[in-house]
Amino acid sequence: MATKQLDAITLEVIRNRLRSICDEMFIVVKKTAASPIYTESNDYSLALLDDQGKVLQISGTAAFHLISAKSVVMETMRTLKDDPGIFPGDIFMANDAYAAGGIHSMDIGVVSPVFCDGEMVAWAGAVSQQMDIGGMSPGGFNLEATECYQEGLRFPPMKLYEGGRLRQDLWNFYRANVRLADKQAIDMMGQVSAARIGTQRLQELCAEVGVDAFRAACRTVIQMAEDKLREKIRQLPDGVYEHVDYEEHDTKSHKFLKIKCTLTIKGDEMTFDFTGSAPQLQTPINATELGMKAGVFAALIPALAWDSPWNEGLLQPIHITAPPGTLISCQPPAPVSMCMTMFRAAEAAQACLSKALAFSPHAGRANAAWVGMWPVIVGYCLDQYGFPCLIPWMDGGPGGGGAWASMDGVDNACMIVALAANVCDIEWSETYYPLLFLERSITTDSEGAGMYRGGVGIQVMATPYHTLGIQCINAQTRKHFAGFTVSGGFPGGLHTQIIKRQTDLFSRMAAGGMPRWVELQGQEQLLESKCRFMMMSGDVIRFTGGGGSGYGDPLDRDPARVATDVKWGYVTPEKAAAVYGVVLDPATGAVDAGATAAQRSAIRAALVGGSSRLTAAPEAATGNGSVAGLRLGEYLEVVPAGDGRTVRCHRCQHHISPFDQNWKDHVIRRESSLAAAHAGILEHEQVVFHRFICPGCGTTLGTEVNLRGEPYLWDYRPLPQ
Amino acid sequence: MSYAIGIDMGGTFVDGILMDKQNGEVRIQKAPSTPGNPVEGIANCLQALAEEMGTALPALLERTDEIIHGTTAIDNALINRNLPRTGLITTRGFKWTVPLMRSGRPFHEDQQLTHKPAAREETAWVPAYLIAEVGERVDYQGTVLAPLSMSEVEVAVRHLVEEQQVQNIAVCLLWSFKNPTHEQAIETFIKERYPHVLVSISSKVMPVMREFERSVSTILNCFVGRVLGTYLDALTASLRQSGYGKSLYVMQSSGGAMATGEKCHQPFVYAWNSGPTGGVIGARFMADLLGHRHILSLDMGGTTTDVSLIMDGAPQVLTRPRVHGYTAHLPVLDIVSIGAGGGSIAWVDHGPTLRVGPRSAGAEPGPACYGRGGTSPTVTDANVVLGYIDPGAFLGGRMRVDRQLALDAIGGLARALDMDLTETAAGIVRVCNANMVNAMRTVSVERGFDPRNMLMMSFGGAGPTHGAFLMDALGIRHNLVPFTETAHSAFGFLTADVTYSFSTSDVMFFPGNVQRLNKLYGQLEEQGRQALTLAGIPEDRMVFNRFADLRYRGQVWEVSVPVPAGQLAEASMPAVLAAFESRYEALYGKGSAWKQSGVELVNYRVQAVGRFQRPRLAHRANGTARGATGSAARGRRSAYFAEAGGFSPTDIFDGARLTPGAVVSGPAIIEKMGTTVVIPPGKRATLDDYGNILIEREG
Repeated sequence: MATKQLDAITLEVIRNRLRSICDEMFIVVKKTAASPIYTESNDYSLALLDDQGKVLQISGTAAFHLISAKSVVMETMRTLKDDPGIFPGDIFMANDAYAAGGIHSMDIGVVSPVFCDGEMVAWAGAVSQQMDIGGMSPGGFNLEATECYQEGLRFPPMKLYEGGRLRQDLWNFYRANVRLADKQAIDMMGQVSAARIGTQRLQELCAEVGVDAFRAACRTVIQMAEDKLREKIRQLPDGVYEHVDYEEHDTKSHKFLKIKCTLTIKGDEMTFDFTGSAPQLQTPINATELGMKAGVFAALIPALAWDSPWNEGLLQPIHITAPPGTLISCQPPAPVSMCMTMFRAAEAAQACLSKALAFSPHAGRANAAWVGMWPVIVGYCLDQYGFPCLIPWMDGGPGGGGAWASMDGVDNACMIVALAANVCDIEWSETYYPLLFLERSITTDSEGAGMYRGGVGIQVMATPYHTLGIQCINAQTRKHFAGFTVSGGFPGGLHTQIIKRQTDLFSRMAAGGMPRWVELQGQEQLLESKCRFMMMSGDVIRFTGGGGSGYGDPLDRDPARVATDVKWGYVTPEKAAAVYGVVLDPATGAVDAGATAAQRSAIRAALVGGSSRLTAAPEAATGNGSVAGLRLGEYLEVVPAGDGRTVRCHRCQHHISPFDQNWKDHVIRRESSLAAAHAGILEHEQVVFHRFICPGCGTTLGTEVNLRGEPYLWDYRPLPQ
Repeated sequence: MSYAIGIDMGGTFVDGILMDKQNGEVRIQKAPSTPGNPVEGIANCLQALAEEMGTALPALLERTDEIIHGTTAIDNALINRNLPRTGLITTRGFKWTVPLMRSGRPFHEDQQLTHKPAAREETAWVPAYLIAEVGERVDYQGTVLAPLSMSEVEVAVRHLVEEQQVQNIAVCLLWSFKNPTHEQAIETFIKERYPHVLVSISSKVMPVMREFERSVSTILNCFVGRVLGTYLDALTASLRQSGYGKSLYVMQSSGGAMATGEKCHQPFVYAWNSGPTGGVIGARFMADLLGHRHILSLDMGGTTTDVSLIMDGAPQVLTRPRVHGYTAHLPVLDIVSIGAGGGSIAWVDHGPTLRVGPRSAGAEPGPACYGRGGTSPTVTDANVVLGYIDPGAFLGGRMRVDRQLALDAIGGLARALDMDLTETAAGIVRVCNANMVNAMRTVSVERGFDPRNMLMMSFGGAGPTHGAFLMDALGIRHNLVPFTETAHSAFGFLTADVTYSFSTSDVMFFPGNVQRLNKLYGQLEEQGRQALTLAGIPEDRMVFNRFADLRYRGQVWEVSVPVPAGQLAEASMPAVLAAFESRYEALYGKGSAWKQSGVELVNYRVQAVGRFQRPRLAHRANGTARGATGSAARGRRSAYFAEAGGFSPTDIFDGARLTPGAVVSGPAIIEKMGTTVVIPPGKRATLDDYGNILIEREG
């Protein structure tokens, strides 16, 4: 069928209407739901799709669901189209992480077909995490599961509504199997309302502009997004990029589990290949291929498609593959409720993409790692009003954002895959949960240092209040292994969670004043990354959250910015001097320029092994970028040399290595624990912080966090000719 | 004989409008703004009104019942970051509540990921080092767990005032809306120790749950209090001196008016952005008069252009608006504001490309052609060069405009761009118009409303000059220039009511306890009655509208529905439930409710409205010949129209002499007292009975 030419205004009206319908659906869920996941944290999303299941528009904050909503619609059509058929007024639900749903069984998709004049023209739906999905563990995180059958209900697509009528049998079955039947009924109705409003609005739109114009506009907006993305990929250097990350706890014990990503860019297509990742386990940290892809897209889309609509077009030039049976492409019956390996896959993919962006005209978009995990605690208890209560405790969420090549990372952002997720107001949390908060502030010094620094993380302290006790599940990672950096930035800080048992908190408060953590008396207990634990009255928990990673050598950070960071309390004066080489006047907080220059020279000299070995000052840098050839991030460039090409320092022109070898093998290497980047973190003897130093000028050209004994990452290789 | 006066203080001009409360006739005057001493500009404007009425100012003010005022001063201060240094005191452990901004960052299409404004030195209203913590803690029931440490209060306040030199202190403690004693103690301490410091406590400013928004509203209250409070005191004193003995009212951001000074019930924050609201509610009034329901209003002044949408006769109201990146708790009209106005400065960016605004020449020095020392080329200068504005007829000939200065200013820019003078002037107008089209697109197309079905209303000093050029880009067929043109915003103030809102919370399972409900509403209405009385409203002009917020049990957000007036009985309640259920379904879809969970009554609100006495608007020029253009013709001059291929002979009319029914075909220019209406080729203008000009496509 020939595409009908649409006038520019009609196209713009339809394009924006799609967005505003999604926004309206978003509000409907927020305003009608009961769970804070919806009403406060915005951790849900809405989608409009065409009659083939192609995504037209998503709204919301968890970009995961670009894939999730699509999978529900596709699987509904595949399995139910002929029998029992799809009719006006039907609404389908599904939560099968293996085929139709989100990243684990708590994610339920609700989708509604849109009919216009008897013809199916589109779908509207919502995907969100439910507070509970039955099974042996409140909230769904089942640490002991060995099979997905132990992880609560699993629905392939089913008709929740038939011809506009709720199917009471299915509904009763669902409600009989979940822990908070009434609240979850309200949440589910929120999703249903959103699907219905979306359906109604799309019908109005089709009636207004005509089905043909609607279809033509949908094709056009999808094509626009695809064209824009392909154009961008063409601007990234062809080649092979790699990154390795580790999950560090399998729910039973601590261990490092490899997730490896290799990105190949060729022309206007990119392929992310996860071959080499660890095999699946009989513990719930696996991710399905569907869940993994959802996470990877969620990390890539903000980095690549900042200027285009988020729709099906973005899925076309990006290919994601993994051999079956890895931690991130597990096969049934592997359990998946804690699916945290998905986050590692997303981060490894983002690391590869950042390397490619750093070498492109979009270098300003090269972005170091955001906080690698949203450390959630799920609590289950009787609340202060005497009712059963599930606490999806998400205050640890606002970790630091990763630095860009032109801008600091966002302080207390969130994960890159859940950008607009919010924490609740303290007053809200204390109304709905039996908790008393004692602190919610930033984690000073948690930023990954750099020319541009990562954002800082969050620190929270709280205690059970007006309850007998709270039964908790800890779902965390990133206690020992840190996120990736770009061009010599330092990795962001890490998470810790500590409980002080049986403290003297309330007597101290009654006596006047609010005690600080250090003042509280009580036995300390460090929590495992993934574990069950109890919190009783008088116990105080504190979580200290990590920040984002940095970009560029911290010694290149503008001293004035460091002074402001210290003034605000983001960075301590001690770290300013030790890591940034910035000396401040203790009285005024102003930069002492002379002392700073001396301190920075001393640090550089120490890195190369004595000042006599420095052959060039970093100030001698040409900095004009006039050399023809490839720029590898902030400090390295590839220039012709003899028959081949060579990598050299852009600043001091020091020749480092032939291009066909890993440059990291040819520079000064300094190896330490992560304590060199973050004082006071939990060190692990297997985790090594590598710094790669220019022998000429002492600049930190690159950094890397890796396991002891592993080869250096080879960030970029050209495609084989 | 008695009058009502509306005064709109803009960045460039003060607009004054006077309405005769007997016959509905209105008079309009304007005077240049005097940013150094705003009261002076207002006095000049009032003087001009008195002269037009042929009387002395004291005599005029003696017969004036109410003066309603609006200003953009606060928002300008926020935009220019010209903010009084303000500290914040909060509960120990929570000083990062405001900088954290609840963490989430929107990142979705066309939006750059940026820092949270409260977390960065360049953009923070209150930087972290001006936020102090004090030991104290109240729980969710209002019970004190840790008493307030007065020694910590003393240290914190001394640090903020003596070392950090703050002028204002906002106080927002956890749960203070449940138990305000700690905040009150801090307020008392500061007032006694440092009387020059303005202190705002959150339990007074905005006693609602959610400490983040409550903090933002409280900080904003400090800014507004310091900036507007000082200014209103001066204005009140000046009016007293000129013989005005009645109340001065100021507009609220939500479109109602409130009393000022001692008579003020509302915290200052409600008047955060009073200026732009008049245009919207004035547009609604006028459209209502003419039978229109959907309106796109364009208010183009000297420094900014405000665009707003009215659907089904109702302006859009936000209760948790974004105020320059901060979410506040505050009812406001949904207005999109851009930095494009007559005073916007044209400049050359890298490229080279021609850019217009957001910097403005403001009132002083103003556009180059004003001859007050400005040399930067502005949109107004371009309008002079293109022949739209007649240097001799500006402001009804009362203000001197120098064409040569405009030519000189634009000439400089033309040389930099290597373009000719006309091209450059036309380019400035084109770029400026495109910016405004984008803003109109934002409130209409981007929200899924088709502008082609709307009545556009263009006003403000520059709106009528540019409005007709914007119609085609959005397919708009009707564009009304209200007779109130430049003073339309001030006119809007005269259509406002004094509006206060009182609310309280008490969660009850439906149908609740009728005795308790009667008591609650009785108390709220009594509060309203007292506040309106204080504001100078007689009992017979008070109206109390009751609302209740209901939700299904387990939900977090409520839906607001009207509640009948008078004594409630159990029989009254089913109607309330029915209203809730039908509103709920209208909002969220049929069958969307989980009714089995039951319904809760949560909040109770009384909107106390004091209606000013207002007559019907007078028809213009009753008895004169209809459709007359003859005596209005002022001959022709050359004006630039791209549609006509450049400068072409253009009919000029005197707006004051056109009579209802008159039709003028473009290209034409209608010169009015405060503005110039440009009718491009292909458009025609018709004058209606009130003196409004309707511009439509020809044929």
